[in-house]
Amino acid sequence: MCKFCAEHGAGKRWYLNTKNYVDEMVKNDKEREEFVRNFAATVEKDGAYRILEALTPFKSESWMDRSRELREWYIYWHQGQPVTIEETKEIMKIASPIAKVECLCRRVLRAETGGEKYCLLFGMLLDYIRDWPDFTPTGVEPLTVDEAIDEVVRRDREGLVHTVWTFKTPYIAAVCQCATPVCLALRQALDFGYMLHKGEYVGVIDTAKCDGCGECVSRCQFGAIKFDPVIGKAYIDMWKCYGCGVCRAVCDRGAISMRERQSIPELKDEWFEPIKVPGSGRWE
Amino acid sequence: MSGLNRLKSRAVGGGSEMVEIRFDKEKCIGALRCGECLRRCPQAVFRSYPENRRRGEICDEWYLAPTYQVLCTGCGICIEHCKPGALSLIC
Repeated sequence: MCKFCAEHGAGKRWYLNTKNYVDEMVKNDKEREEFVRNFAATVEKDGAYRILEALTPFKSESWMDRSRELREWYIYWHQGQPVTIEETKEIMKIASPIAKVECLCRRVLRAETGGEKYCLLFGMLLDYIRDWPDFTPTGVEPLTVDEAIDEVVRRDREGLVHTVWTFKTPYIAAVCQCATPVCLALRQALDFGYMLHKGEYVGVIDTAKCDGCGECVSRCQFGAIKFDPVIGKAYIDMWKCYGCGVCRAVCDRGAISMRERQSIPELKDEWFEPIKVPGSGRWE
Repeated sequence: MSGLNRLKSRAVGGGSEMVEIRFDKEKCIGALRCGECLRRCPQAVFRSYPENRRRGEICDEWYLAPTYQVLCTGCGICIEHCKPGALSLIC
């Protein structure tokens, strides 16, 4: 069981625990209220950016230290984790109210201003987000539970990864639907090793069923699936897999299944990408 | 400088050998008006930031910063496509 589930799950997955969605968590905690209120306001003051900037040109040692600090900061304030489509549907039944807005990451990283709404926000965050219309230039679109479920299923078919987000852990106020590298979180996680937990599952391919079509290879946002030309089939690097289940959705043969991370001895405590110094080959 | 040497110098923290992207804010017409560099960079090195933001208003002054510069390969695609010529590369 992951640390979050042990501390905040009440016997379940932490993100399926109804308690982590109630508005009282914000109302009764001044620090959290402040964080939620300022969330949309702080995009230009983002701490991670300042640190990256200060480290360019960087020294290896300070890079490792700062990355470790950042990892802790995100675990405390704004941690994400990929969730499978089944669990995302469950989350839609628990969270309320739900609305969708434009994605700030796509705007910030790729100047994407198409008006397509990708992000699902819940509860108190919706009240505060209206103060900062950069976040919501085309408005906030409320969704019913059924509409929200249709929305996440559609995004799953498009090949986007669902991630669940805390606002001062363990309060949950958002589900993002992302891809690499337009998502700040996936970006930060893969290149620098913080901000996103690995998921509770790991994908496994049944080689007997795989016909080597390669659909899953191009879908994987984490670079975990490769095509082996010798056997003519795809395989998953389980160390790299985040357990989002996007590959499973496109497999016509039903060759991909999700296995509990806890059932795999070497992966049961594998929650983060190793911190690396880019280009140096150094690992932690 | 060869690629291998560059890697070595990074490993020992010899930052001065890194490729550096220079960004001239005076010339940039704004990330949301143009955004060519953001969209075209193969490594997605750039990130845009709003300036002079006010509560309740949409900000249209978004500038950029080569935030993920450590991943830059120095390929020069951003410079080729920067219409106002706000970017330059120091190798």
